[in-house]
Amino acid sequence: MSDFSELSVALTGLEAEQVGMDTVGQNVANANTAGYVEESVQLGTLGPFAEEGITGVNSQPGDGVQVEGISRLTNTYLQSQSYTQQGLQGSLSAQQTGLQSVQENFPEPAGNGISSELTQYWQDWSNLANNPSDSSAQTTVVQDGSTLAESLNQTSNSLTALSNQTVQNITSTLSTVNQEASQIANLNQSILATNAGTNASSDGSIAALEDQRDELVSQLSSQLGVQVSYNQDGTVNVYSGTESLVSGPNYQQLSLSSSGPPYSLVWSNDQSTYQPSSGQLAGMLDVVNNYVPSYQSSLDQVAQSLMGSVNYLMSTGYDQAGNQGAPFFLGTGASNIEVNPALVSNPDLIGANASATPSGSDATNEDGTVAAEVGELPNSQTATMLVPAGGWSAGGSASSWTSGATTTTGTEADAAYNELVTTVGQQTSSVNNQLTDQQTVTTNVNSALQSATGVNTDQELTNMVMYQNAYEATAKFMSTVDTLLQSLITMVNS
Amino acid sequence: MSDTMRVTQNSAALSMVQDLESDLSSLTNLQEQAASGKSINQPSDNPTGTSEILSLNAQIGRFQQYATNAQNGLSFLGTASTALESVSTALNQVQTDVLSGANASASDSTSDQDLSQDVLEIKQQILNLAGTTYNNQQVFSGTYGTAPYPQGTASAVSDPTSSSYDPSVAYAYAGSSTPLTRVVAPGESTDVSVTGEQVFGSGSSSLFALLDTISQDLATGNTSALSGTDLQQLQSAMSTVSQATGNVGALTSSVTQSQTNANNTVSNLQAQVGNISDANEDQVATELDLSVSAYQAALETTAQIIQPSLAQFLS
Repeated sequence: MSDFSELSVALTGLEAEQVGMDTVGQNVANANTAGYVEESVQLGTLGPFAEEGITGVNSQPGDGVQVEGISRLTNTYLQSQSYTQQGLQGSLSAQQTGLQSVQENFPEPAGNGISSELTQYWQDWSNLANNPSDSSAQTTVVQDGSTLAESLNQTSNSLTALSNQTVQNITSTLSTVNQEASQIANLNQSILATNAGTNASSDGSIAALEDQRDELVSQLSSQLGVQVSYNQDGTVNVYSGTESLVSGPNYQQLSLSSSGPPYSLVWSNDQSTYQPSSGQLAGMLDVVNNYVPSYQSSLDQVAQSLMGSVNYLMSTGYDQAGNQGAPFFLGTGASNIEVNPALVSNPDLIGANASATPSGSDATNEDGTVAAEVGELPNSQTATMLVPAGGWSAGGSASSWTSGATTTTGTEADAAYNELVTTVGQQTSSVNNQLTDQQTVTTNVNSALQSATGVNTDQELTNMVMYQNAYEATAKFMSTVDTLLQSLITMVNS
Repeated sequence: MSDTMRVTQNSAALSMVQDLESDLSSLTNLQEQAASGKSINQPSDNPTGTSEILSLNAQIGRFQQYATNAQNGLSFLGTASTALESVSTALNQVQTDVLSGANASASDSTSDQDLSQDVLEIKQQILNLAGTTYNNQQVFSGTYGTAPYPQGTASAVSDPTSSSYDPSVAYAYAGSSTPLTRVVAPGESTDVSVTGEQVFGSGSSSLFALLDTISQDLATGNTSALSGTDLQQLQSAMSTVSQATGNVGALTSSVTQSQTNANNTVSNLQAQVGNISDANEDQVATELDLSVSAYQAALETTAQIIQPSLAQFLS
């Protein structure tokens, strides 16, 4: 050891404290940066070089301190937990958004919905029964029937629009996911390149790349459920299902199948289809593939029950001129149900009566019994229904109802609608509850992850005070060595 | 270092924000209930309750309609009753005419002619009463939409002095034998009319044919017929009319009872809907109060926890 070695020891100390201070600065500055993982300086003593023959006791104190590296406080277990929970939450919150929109189409039980229009419609029939030849009673039945049909059309259209909107959202989410996949692959590439050139953990820029990458994976995980595996070379692979979205510097793209529902995702590498089970994409696919189609079909059943039961009774009735009653509704389902245009232009054709006018008489029969029976339909859970000749797909033409139609028994329209609304309510409420629970779990996991890897400013400030004190002490040491050297030089010179 | 859990400012903030959000969401829900007065504002608030309310509301609609149907039936019966009273009054006048015709001397021919004319006028009046309508519906034609005695009101076949007089054509009942009905309870129809045939008869045995005969007997001074068969048949016809009036009265009280039942059912069902859908105001107010306090406390605590940092104490 030379006389001047104290100065170089002091220098390593000053440098190390400075790196420490820089790290504190970096940590505090990034305390609120999304995805930032706290960094800490790893210090190690420098020397002394062991002298041969002497063990256990060093005759030299050592050559100072060195920065061995700056490490990130990662916790891969909590990290992957966080990805999983965010995926589950993403799926539930996409389902909730979809179901809330569905539910807005059923403004029940306040009585502004189809249920009150049905009640009004049945009342109109009873009023018609009380005076079958009254043209205002006939017109009211036709008008309120049209209102009801339009509400069914509108609800069906809104559900279709909701489905289309959700498909658009899936497409735009997919483009975000693809972008994130390519960015993650790019970051992997940069990490590889940086690692090839330098010592793995000593460079702060790698930590920054890793932070960015982890944050991207975190964003990705709420859009598409992913699992992550960490490679030795510092890169990550991102899997969804059985395929890898990102594999080191390589990635593939996901697209939406061209037709549906049911829609599925398609991998670009092998064109295989994929139904994710987690993430917003899974939730949105659930909405377009399962929820909305099942509500549409229930709504169709409401419309078909209405058409079938009213048209059946009409087929047993006679209009004011004594002819068999015309079908009241035409259509194949909720999207196109309408009041028979023949009745709209001539409501007198409603088959309100049970018997025809007696032959050879000027009298008209106006018993109104069939109209009364229509009014009584909501009293039972089931109703006899007419099914158009050729099945429901043929229900748009009046002739399919008048010749060759068959009868069946089905759920009455009010009961079918009630069932639909209850199902929407139950599923929405169930998703709401699941999401509330999931939010708690996700927050807990993210909070645990933050605790493990985030910045604690108090701790940083404590570190700052430590480094500051050490720096001051080292500087004091340096100036003391300087003073010693000064006095030595002065002694030599005198 | 002790091994207590490491806590960072951000992790603390995450938990606090989550707590605040959950407080705020329950506060919003309570505010919605308080504002609307309803505990179910959308199906997901209470799916089972929603289902019950929908089916109760459908039933309320039906029973309101039964009350409306009953009211319509009562108006119908009221119209019939008024018409039948007028018929009774008119027949009393005929009876007076018959009695005075039967007791008159043969020389009193002018006054007999007057009485005969009076009876013909009364016949016309009763024919008109038989064609009474309520809301453009025939009251005495059963389920048919045309007047019960269309031939009798004008043509020569109903003129007893005419050679083409034919009571079997003139007074043939043209209505239906089925009375009009109204649905006043689920699956329960009640008659709300008596048919013209029941009240006035049909053809040559009808009340109108009898009045024609009386009028002729008055004109010819046939006192034996007047005091005999004419009076007998007239009294029998009067008792038929009063019997019909009694039937109408019985139907009226039965329909009135049905209407009362329907209205009571509506009130009961509405009370049930209220039990399910109305927010319990006291409870909501109390919970809202608690919820506001909890939210405020959480906000205050959060503000106090987030504030202190070592930075404040380092100079």
